[in-house]
Amino acid sequence: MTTPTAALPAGAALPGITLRGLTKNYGATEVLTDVTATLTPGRIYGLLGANGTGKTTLLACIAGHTFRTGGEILIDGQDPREHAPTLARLCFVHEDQAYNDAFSVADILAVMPAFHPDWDPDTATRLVRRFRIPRRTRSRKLSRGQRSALAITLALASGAAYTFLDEPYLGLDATARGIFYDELLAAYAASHEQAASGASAPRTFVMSTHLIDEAAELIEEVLVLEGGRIVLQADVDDARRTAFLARGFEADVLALAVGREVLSTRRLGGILTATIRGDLSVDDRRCATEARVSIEPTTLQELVAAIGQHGESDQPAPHYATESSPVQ
Amino acid sequence: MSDWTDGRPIFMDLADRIAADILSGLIPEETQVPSTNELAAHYRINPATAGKALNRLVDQGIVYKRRGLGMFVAAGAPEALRAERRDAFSEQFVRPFVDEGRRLGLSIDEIVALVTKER
Amino acid sequence: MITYSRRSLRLYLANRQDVLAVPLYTLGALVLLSVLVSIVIGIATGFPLSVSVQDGFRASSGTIWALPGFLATVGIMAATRNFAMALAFGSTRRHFWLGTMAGFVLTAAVTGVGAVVALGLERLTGHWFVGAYALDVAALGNGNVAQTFGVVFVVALVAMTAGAMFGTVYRAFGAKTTALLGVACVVLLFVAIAVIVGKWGSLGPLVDGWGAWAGVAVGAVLIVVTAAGSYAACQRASV
Repeated sequence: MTTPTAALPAGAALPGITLRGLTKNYGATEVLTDVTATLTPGRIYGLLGANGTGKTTLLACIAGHTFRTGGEILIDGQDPREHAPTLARLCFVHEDQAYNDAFSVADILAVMPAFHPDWDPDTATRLVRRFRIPRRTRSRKLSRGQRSALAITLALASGAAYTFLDEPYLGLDATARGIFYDELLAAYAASHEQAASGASAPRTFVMSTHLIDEAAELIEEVLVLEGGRIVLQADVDDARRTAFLARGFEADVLALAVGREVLSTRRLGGILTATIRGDLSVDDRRCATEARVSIEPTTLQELVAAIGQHGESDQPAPHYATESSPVQ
Repeated sequence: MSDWTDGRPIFMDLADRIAADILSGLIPEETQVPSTNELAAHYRINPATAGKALNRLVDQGIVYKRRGLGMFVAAGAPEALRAERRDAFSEQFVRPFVDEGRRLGLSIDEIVALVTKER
Repeated sequence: MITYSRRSLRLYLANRQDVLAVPLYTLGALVLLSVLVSIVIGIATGFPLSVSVQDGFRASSGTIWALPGFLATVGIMAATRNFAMALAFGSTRRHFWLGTMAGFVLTAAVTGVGAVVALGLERLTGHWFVGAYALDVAALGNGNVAQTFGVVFVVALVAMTAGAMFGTVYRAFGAKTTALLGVACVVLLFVAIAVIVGKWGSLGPLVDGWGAWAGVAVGAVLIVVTAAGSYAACQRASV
């Protein structure tokens, strides 16, 4: 077994991924406007946002699969563009990955070790078995679900220091998704164990997803993309606390919302349900109860949907402050 | 997802769950508590979350770390938990219970009568 | 550089079938075609084929010109499908290009060797028993082993590199750009031909002196041009 290459290159500055003012235009359309974020190694990140907000584009820009229009990307302190040692530590199998038509699943699996010295054949074998991916089938004959399963297998078994997963669960039924979550946790645990013994840096996973609530428990930190910007980057628990649901008579709810930002509203008869930005103090809660407005926490899914709805209203995307990332 | 209390950080719920197991004797004193990875795999949550739950228990003195071995239930933890729960009983259960009764228009005596009936 | 390029070479070679066997099958098919054509002509004009017919075959460029078409597709496939995989697995564009080019050189060499072997067979069997000149032709140096290898190698390499270039441009920039590129190439080709024809006075004797090596020289120039083109296309292609 060759020396693990997931270890940080000597003298590397600032481990992790740093994005500063990243922009990406497709012709006249600005998909990414000013993406700024820092990703710490060894975490499972969730990249969340409505359809078409540019999650895939963002991942593709970082991985160098497409070219950014402006801004800065640093992976372990290094601009990854055409930089072989950095890119070699990255694995990004797309959800619609193109493979060589003539390759069978077995061929693709046989080729991987050449690109990833930390490739774990046992993990690969186990995943192929659990997902029941037919080894001898040509890549172009695989079903949607089998393609996703293959992408997950390649990503997890690669052992790459930075692993991106783009909507990895497409076409997978609940059982297969369960397998994916189990194996993701196993890969994460294994990499942290190796890191603890000093053999290599722990793996970083970035997963873009729509099934937010299902994946929320696996994710350590969320990045919410809206209007071409990262509008929220926080620990999952902190993220949930950035907004709350208020339900009651319209007038009462709106009174409570004075001085706060309303992200989204839903009406049923005279009852208004509003997702409101911010947190409530104990006093606020007492006032709310007296006003017969019920306060509930939002789920991550509701929060992201509300942010998306807010984005539709063409207002400039606000930055959601949390304890860990206050507004500058 | 339905396992956890909506809106409450998972690590708090998990810490409570483990504490409940300790209190009921399912995890006796001085025995080992599941590791972060075991908890993460079992509940399908991020190991960092499991770690936070265990740290919470360490802070509360319910669990302690034995270097190289793992996390163990502290001696006297069940009693400590029981005492803590007793203190919180009034605030957590009695007051809301009485408030609800009042909301339904019951007098204190009527509420007490309901309690006695439960004997 | 070698470490990273080798990865893409392994990727290229993973498709052993298409990449090594197909060129050889193609050679075989072309020889077969030549033989069949000769047989048909022989049926009409009588066996063994008359000297003038044989000379006609020898002077023609031979079936070798059908080879580029098949090999171009090898180039297209390698450049487009393998490109996406290589990037997904963390390769740089530059190393993918290097590894794939190395693969092309290998395939071209195998094809060249295959042609030489076939040439040997052709001579041994008295031109496939019917006087069919498939590889023993003027364009390949009339049986000169080095020239046969040289021309076939160069033709194969040009085909694959050009295929890779057009394939990459097509996938990255679409049909219109590819068509424009095609037009530009044709124009350039005509300009080059015009220049050569114009200068034939001085160039003619040179070419005659070189024989088949002239073809190799032209091929070498084309390789450099198409290789540079495929490199540039690769650098600008997104996946």
